[in-house]
Amino acid sequence: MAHVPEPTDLNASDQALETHRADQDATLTAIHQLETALGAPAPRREETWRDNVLVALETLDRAISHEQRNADEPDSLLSDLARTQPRLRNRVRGLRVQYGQVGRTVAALHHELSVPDPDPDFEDIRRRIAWLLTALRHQRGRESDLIHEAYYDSFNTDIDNDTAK
Amino acid sequence: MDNTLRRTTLPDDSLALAENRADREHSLLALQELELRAGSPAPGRDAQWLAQVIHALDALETMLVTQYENSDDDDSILSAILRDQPRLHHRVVQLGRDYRDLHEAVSRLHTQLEASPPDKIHFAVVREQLDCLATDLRYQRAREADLIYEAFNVDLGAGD
Repeated sequence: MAHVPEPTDLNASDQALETHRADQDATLTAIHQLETALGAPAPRREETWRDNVLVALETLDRAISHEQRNADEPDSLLSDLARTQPRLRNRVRGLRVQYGQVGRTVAALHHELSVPDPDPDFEDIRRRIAWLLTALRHQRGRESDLIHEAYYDSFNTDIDNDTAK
Repeated sequence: MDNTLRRTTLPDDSLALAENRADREHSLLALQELELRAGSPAPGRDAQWLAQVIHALDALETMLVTQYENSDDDDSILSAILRDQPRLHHRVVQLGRDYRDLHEAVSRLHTQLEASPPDKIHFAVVREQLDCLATDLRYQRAREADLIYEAFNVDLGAGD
């Protein structure tokens, strides 16, 4: 028997969408801070550079953890999608797995950079964090696609503002 | 005197520095706008998504051209390094080449996207191409900040 999607509570979804956007904004701000720290001059001031990158990485770690916690709540947008739209359930699960992977990579980099090193290999650190941020952007794009599709399916209309904002 | 070890100071209110920082700020904002557009939802709104990405890519291309032309001026910071700091000459030249290559890559993608019908666009591939360009641009910005700091002891990143 074909599964009929459950009706979605518009007010509850709006609230979940708002929380989701706020979380994404905070993460985007943290990404930009980290990119600024990475792009600052490093030679001859390696320790200062490393310390600033570390602070920015901590901020990103907190933002991602917060976003992940909210996304795991039963009344989050992703939980709502997984519950009401079975055809999107695998994609929601995939996103959650990716959240976890990115979070673990951030934590591992943070741990590694926390070890005092008077001469950090800043070229290597820049590259590796750039890969991490590319993965994070990829994840954000997929999440925006998913939410847009789900919203369109539910309400037969576009989300007014991009969820990537 | 060994010119290769000479280190020149640059006043923090120097016009060349202000221009460089302004150019970097503009190209960074253009890049962030492009990333925002590329990361916005694509399925089911391909034409709208593509139009926004092309518009943002166009703005980034314009900023890169301006930045490249300004950095090529005789009174730019990079020209000052070329003039005053022979030990850093090859890095300035390499940076200029890399910026030119990057601009060409942006331009090629721009042309390719403009020529593609929206329903033929594979947005995941386009996002990946844009990610590569963005990573390269950020890496070059960082190398430029390193170079200017080494030459003048000025933190260009502070203007970002």
